[in-house]
Order: sequence, then C-alpha cells, then structure tokens
Amino acid sequence: MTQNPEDELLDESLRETFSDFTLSPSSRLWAGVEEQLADIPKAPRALPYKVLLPLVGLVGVGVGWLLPHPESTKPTPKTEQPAVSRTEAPAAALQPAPTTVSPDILSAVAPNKLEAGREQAATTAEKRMAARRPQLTGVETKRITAAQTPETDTLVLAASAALPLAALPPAADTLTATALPAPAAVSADSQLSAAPVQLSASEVRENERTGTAGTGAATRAAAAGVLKPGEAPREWRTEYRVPTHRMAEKGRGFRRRITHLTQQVRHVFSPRRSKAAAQPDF
Amino acid sequence: MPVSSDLDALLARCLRREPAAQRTLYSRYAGRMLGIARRYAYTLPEAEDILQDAFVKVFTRLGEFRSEGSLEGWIRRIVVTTAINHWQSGKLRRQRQVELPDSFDVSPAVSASALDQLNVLEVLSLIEQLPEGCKVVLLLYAVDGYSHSEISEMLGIQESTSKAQLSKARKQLLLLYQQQNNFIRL
Repeated sequence: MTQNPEDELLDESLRETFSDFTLSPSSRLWAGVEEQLADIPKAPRALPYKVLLPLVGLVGVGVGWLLPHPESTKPTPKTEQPAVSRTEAPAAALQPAPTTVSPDILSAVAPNKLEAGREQAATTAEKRMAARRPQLTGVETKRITAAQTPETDTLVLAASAALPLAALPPAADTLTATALPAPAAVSADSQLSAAPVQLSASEVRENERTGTAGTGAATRAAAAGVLKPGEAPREWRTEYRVPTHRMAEKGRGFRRRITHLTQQVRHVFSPRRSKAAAQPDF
Repeated sequence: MPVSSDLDALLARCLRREPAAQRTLYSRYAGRMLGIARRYAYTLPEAEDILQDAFVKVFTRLGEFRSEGSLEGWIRRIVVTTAINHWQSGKLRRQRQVELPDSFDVSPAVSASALDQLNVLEVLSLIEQLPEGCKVVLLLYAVDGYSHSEISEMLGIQESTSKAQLSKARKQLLLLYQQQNNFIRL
C-alpha cells in the first residue's frame, strides 16, 4: 500500500518527537514493583534430570536384580550328590560296567542281591522315616515311592551287575544307607517290586539313552561313567513352573505393574513353590 | 542484535531473582519506558501504574526472553501491551475530547512538518485531544511502528477499521494544530 508522502512525513515527525521522550519515575514506583515481585511465589525448581535419571536407572537395576531370576527356578542337586560321589569311584573304575554284563549274569545275581538290599534298606529307612517325618501323609508316601523306587532298584542292579560282590562293600553300603530310603514306603501291593528283576542291561542302556523315567543320576553315573568328579548329576525330579505366562499382559500402565508385582509375590510365597522347590529330606 | 556480555550477566542475575540486579535493570530502562507509557495514558500517575505492571511482567517473564532481539524492544512491547490492556479495561481516565466536525478541511498552509515546531508536551497535548481509538491507532502505527494487522489483533478490530482510524487521526491532528495556531494568532 502506497502512503501519502504527507502522511509519511507526519509519522516521521511524530516518531522523532517522541524518540527522546523520557520521564523520571518516582521513587515509589520501584517500591511498588518490588512489593509485587515479593508477592509472587518463586517458580518451582526444574527437576534435576542429571541426578534423577541415573537414580532411576540404579533403582531399576536394583529392583530387577532383586526379582527372582529364571536360573533360581531351576532345580539344584541336593540330596543325591553325596551318594553319587561315593559311588563314582567304583563306577568310573569299571568303565564297561553295564554293557559288558550279559543278561544271564544279571538274572542270576541281581534278584538275590536286590532282595537282600531292599529288605535291609526298607527296615533302615522305615525307622528313619518314622523318626524324622512322622507327619508324612499317605499321598506323599506314594509319591516318593513312585519316584524313588526305580532309581534305587537300578542302582542296586547296576552295581551288582558291574562288580564282583567282594569289590563292592563301601559303595553298596553307601547306596543302601543313603539312597534307598524310598523303598521303605513301598507297600505290599506295589507293583514296583518286580520291576528291577526284569530290567536288563539293554533296558538300562535304553533308559540311559532316552533319559526316561527311572534313570536316576546315580544310575547314569554308575552305568555310563559320564559324570566327572565334582560334577552334579542331572536333576530327575519334575519341576512344575508357576504358570505366570497365562496371566493377561494387557496395557502398559499401573495395572500391569501391579499384576506383575502380585504375580511375583504369589510366585515367591505360594505353597506350591515351596513344595516343588523343596527336595526330599532323606 | 546480540545482547552484550554485561547485560547477559545482568539478565542471569535477574533470573535468579537478585533484587540488586532487578533494580539495575529497572533503572536502566524505566525513564524511556515511562515516556512510552505516558503517551498512552492521560496523566503521569496512570503512566506509572502502567510502568509498574509492565516491570512486574518483565521480571516474571524474563525467562521467556530470547537473546535474538534487543531487550529494550522486548520491554517496550510489554509496556505497550500493558498500556493497551489498561486502556481496554477502563483504568485510564477518559479525557473530554474536543468536538470536531465530521467533515473538516485542513488548510493547505498546514503541512505535515508543522509539528516539528512543537515540543513533545505540546504534541502530546494535541494527541490527547483525539478520540481514544484514533489516538491509540496513531501512536501504535506512527510512533511505535506496529502494522495494521498487528493493531487489529491487539485491539480486536478489523484492519480496515485500523486504517480508517489512522487516517482520521492524522487529519484531526493537523486540524487541532491549525485551530491551536489560529487561536494563538487571534
């Protein structure tokens, strides 16, 4: 828009007139400004991000470290380890143990030795169980029996099949005293008592190969000699994971964190966990 | 224009709410800003009220100032805006305006440069006789350098209204000058 030169001249004249226009303010003016500034609350200090962010990181790492790790749910060998270590020496000394034994020898030697060992173990363990775990319920007894009996039988079978009887005294004693308490709970109507008699060397090898039920760590160590000194046997007991994966994981907010926290608390303090994680006490 | 280092340090101290620094900043700009406030006000106490409110705003919003422009220009804008707010809220005392005819002719003998012969207070007294809208638009446009779009935004009017008010203000100012001179001559 083009302006009238007269108008521009007038504007210029006004601008020049007021360009140096200054007035001295009265002293009360600053007092008023100071008073109003004092009434205004100070602005809140900005968050110290340089300190806050590392602090949050440290807290996060600490909380993450305190939470249960996946490794902590893995079973740890406890009770079987001494028995295995004791039996390791004769088992390792006799490398071709189960494979070189023919089924005839097995069938001739094993039943007698097995029966004697079983009876002795039964009486010993019965006393110990009665003394140490009088509150054991019937259900638990059956569970222990079902889990332990094959291993015990196999242990005796493997040891007797691999060794001349004279060479076995310390290992056999150890096995009987430490690893054979479970048969004490075998009832008369249990069908497990006949199982070890029919277990042949090929079955032992097959069990060893497939890693199926009834092949305990001690058996495998004695039979195949794969365990080295100081090496813990593989845990045979079944661990049932707490089914936290079934819980819904929707959202990212407070609700999810609360759900996660309650899951962890339940995971730590649930009776199922204590039962599953606890190893048999014998 | 970059802010000089001493002014930068002064601003930093003002941001920390140091009273001495605030007082220094106030002393540096108060005289000029009071002159600006006086143009929009009708009396000196009114101008001081405007200036007080303006400096409170300056110190509370100093963190929003960017060093890209001049600090004086930033404070000047605050003073002008505060003065407009005072005027719009009715805090400024309305002066009795001179009755001027709707259609008036300015003598060709009165030129635009005639105001150069007057001092500041005489020009100010002429401007104060203008209608309020005309006075504010004239000061904003001719003296403080605002555009019509900025004026329309500040005052909440159309740009065409702003232009019309400016045109009317110029003519009335010259007419007032002419009447004053004629009165003096008579």
